[in-house]
Amino acid sequence: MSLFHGLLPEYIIVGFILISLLGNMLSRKYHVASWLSLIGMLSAFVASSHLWSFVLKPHMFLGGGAVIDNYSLFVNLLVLLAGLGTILLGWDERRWGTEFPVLVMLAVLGMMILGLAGNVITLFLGIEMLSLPLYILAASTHTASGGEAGLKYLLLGAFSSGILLFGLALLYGAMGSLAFVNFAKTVATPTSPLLWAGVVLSLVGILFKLGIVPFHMWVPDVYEGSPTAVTQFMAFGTKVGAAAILLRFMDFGFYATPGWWGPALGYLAVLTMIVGNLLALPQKDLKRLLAYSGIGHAGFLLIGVATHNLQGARALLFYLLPYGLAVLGAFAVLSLVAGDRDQVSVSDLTGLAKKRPLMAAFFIVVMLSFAGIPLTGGFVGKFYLLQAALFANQPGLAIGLVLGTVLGLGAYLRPIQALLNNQDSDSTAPKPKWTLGGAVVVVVAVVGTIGLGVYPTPIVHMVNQSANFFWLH
Amino acid sequence: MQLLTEIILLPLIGAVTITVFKGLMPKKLPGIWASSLVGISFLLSIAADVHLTHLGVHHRFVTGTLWTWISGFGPAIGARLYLDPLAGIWLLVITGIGMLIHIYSIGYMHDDPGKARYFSYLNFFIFSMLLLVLAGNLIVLLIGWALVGLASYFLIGFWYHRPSAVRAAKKAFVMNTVGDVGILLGLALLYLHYHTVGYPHLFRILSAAHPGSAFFEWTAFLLYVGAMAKSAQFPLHMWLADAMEGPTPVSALIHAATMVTAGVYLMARLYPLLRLAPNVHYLVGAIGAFTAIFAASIAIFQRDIKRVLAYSTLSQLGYMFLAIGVGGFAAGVFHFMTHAFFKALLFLAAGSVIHALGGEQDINHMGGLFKKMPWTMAAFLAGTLAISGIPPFSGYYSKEAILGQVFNSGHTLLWGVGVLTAGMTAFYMFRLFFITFLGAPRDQALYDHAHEAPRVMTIPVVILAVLAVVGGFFRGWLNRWLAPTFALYPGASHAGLESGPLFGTILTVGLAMIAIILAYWMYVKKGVAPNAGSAHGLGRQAFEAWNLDTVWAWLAVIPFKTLGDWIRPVENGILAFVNGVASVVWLWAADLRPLQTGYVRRYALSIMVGLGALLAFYLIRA
Repeated sequence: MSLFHGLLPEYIIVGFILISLLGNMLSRKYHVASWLSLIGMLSAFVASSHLWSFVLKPHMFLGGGAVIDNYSLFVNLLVLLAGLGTILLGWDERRWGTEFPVLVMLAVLGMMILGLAGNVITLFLGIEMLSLPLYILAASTHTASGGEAGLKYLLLGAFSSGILLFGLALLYGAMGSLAFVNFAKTVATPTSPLLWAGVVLSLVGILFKLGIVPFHMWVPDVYEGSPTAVTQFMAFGTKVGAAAILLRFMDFGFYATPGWWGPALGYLAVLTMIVGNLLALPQKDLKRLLAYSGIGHAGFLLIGVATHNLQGARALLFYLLPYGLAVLGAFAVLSLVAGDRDQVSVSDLTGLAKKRPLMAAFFIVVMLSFAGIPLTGGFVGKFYLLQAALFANQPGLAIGLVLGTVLGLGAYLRPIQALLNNQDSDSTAPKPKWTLGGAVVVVVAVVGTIGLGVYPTPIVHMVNQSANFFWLH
Repeated sequence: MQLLTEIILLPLIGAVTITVFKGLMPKKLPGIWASSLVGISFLLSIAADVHLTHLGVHHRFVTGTLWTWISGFGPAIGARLYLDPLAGIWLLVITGIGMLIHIYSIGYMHDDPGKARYFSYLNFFIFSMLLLVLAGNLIVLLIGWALVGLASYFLIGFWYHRPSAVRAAKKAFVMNTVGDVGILLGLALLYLHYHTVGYPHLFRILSAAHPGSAFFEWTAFLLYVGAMAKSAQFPLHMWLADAMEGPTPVSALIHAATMVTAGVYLMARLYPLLRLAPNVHYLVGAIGAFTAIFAASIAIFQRDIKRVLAYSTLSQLGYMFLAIGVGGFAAGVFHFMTHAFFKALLFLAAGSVIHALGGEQDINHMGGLFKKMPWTMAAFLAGTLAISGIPPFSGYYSKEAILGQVFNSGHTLLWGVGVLTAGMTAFYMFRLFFITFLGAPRDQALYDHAHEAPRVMTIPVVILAVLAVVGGFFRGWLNRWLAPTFALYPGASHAGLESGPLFGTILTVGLAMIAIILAYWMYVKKGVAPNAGSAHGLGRQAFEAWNLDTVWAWLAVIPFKTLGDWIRPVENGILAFVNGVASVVWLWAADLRPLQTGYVRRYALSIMVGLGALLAFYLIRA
């Protein structure tokens, strides 16, 4: 397989970015870029699926800098799903400007690069490619809170990128190599302080993107201030990209010495699960609530890395999908309820079950999936994570997961309670309107969530093929 | 897979399409659509059973995995279906009688505004019941088991604007949940021990085991608790009488012919396990016999036509469990089949009566209806004769098969109880028949308005009446049909039908005859009032179902309620604690809420703190 063939999805995205820019220049029609990006991402989706069976054995290019395997393709599929959802949810938002779809595609490209990164250069390239468009997107509503969200994200993102870059430089100094493949060979006995410092600093940079406590503080503010479609993109896409690179970086680059880096991540995972879900409890703003829940879920995801075994890697990869689908569904309903506004509080949902029963039912399904109730994908995902933690003989992680889930349940039940509440419902308030894009996203999310809960086997099969990068060594 | 998928899916398709499109369907369509789907399912069931007969005696089953449901944690669990002669009998009864009752319902629910909903529930029930019976492993069985409970809940509470119906539905659901938990626990024990839930594999392992260990007794007992709740065995029986709040065809289908026999099915299916648990096996028979006579004693004093039939169902279920308990598995299945015929018939005929009397169910207001409803009367009489065990009606053969086997296996006491119950059955059933159809009308206004049911209702009733009359002649065929199933694994050496001693037959039939004459003398000649004897003393106790509801309230409901009341402060404390934590968090979060750029420093500080902590962690560990 040639490099061109392997990078086909990325090339398609690059091509459509250029075409969309041209289209924006040549046409005054508002939706040209949106349509083009939709077509582009769908073709990249098809291309990624098409490549699936060609790369059952991983292919390395650019001296280990790009690894095309089922893992990178699985990440491609996930982030393209997130990107498509963003375009559909943001379809009619004229005030964001025609660059919106182009920026989304750029960020998607960054996430795809994170999926295939095989050395520290591509890692950093991916992180920056993902972040820069997001800084702009976060600020794309011309409101005070939007501007602040963008600025905050930019400042802290730059800060963490600095830390990451410093860490990567130290790593290069300690190892004399850039590629993850060579790391594992070098790090038989981690004694050099240079190496510790390098690993810790790069970890901090990645954990910041993932939103792990205590590097999480930017998450709620940025989520709250950004437009809803963009928030969805950050909650789903960014998490997928960050989790993918973290898993590949640690489990692949440092697979020989898990006892050395694993425990710290375990502690952070437990801390994050508990703090994130606990802070989700008192939130009144729905976007903040989902932001904290996203932090809690980042903790769940971290379990998969901290267990440093095959089950953990598979569980993490699997969990990304039910989590992402639930994010898609939740934010889609949120944007439908919000209409023109950017703020949605829990009390805005009051009486939704009466006004829009179907919308309310869909929202309940995705909330239950967040909470991990059986017959939803969230349950199956949590089950795999729990199993991975127990197989790795780390009961602490399992206990943390259960505690976090219980706390989270409390947080997710509050919006449900609100939407089932008919007494305080303001009957004069207008009914939320269905939009075509929103409806498509919600239906896909709900069907996927229930499908994963009832019949997870096909995705499990895909995940098992994806988590085969260990065998590269 | 030999039509199994189609058989199961057709009713589900019906339930889904009716639910989704009921707004668009013409008024009559849901009933016809639902009935024809179940009818096709019935024809396919016959085809599937015919296919079974072509297989070799020792391989007489069809099985297959629809898909691997769950893999990755422990052994893979597939959505597996399994058809053998035992399931084949249930299959035919469920779809066949189900179809007749669907057709009958078209007439019975004619004026009900919610009839589309009714038919979607009914189809959903058929689907769930088929899933239960055709399950190829215990997990799929449990899913079907829970779904039939759900369908039963929907249908008992069908008239949800009646508080009593809602209460009855709730009661049935709660008591069935007790059973579901039993099955779940039993299943979990088996799974933990053997890492498999599929029938053939599990039974092969069980066949090699030695009986008598506590593990087997517990597993069997827990599974029996499930069967007990679903089949309304003492002491989990009270929900069945209350379940009569549902529409009468529902009582016929779910609470007489099919769902309540799921426990019998489960016990017959698990006969290799019962071999390993002799104590539980005996318990099954003893509780069955007790339930039989206990329910019969209640039925004698009831005044509601459906309640009499409900208690007689309990009593007959007791017979089936008695047969299982003494190892007469084929006899139990035989009685299930004949009971499905005559009990569905009795309920449907009673439904016609209730329909004719504008919803009146109290036999105090009936009487003399034979002139108005000759077809219904004849059908009801056939059913009554069958349940009373009068030869050559079907009930005679199956009851004789059970009692014969009980006697042959040396359970003389249980046999005595069974014989006595047979006499009581004949008495209360003929009491019901005489009061309803003979004598003078007790309520002239109702009587004047009574009329024979429409054709769509009488035809299913007449078909069932024919089956109730001739059902006993399937005896030899059924015995040969079931033999391979019960010969596959050890534990059912006396499963085949046997005949008892001649004096036993004479005694049973004689008692029944005397009881009929007594009933005739009392209720037709003497004109004793229907509610006689239930005012005080034992009669009152029996009328009030021996006040088991109160006992349950004392034993279970009140203690739990007290416990709940007692725990409430604790719960409030926990709630207050959680709220306290939440409000502290909230204060802190609120403190951080103002979006000021100044706070970015604090965020950055937090990152640095985290970085420092991580570095320190690695330094200390190194």
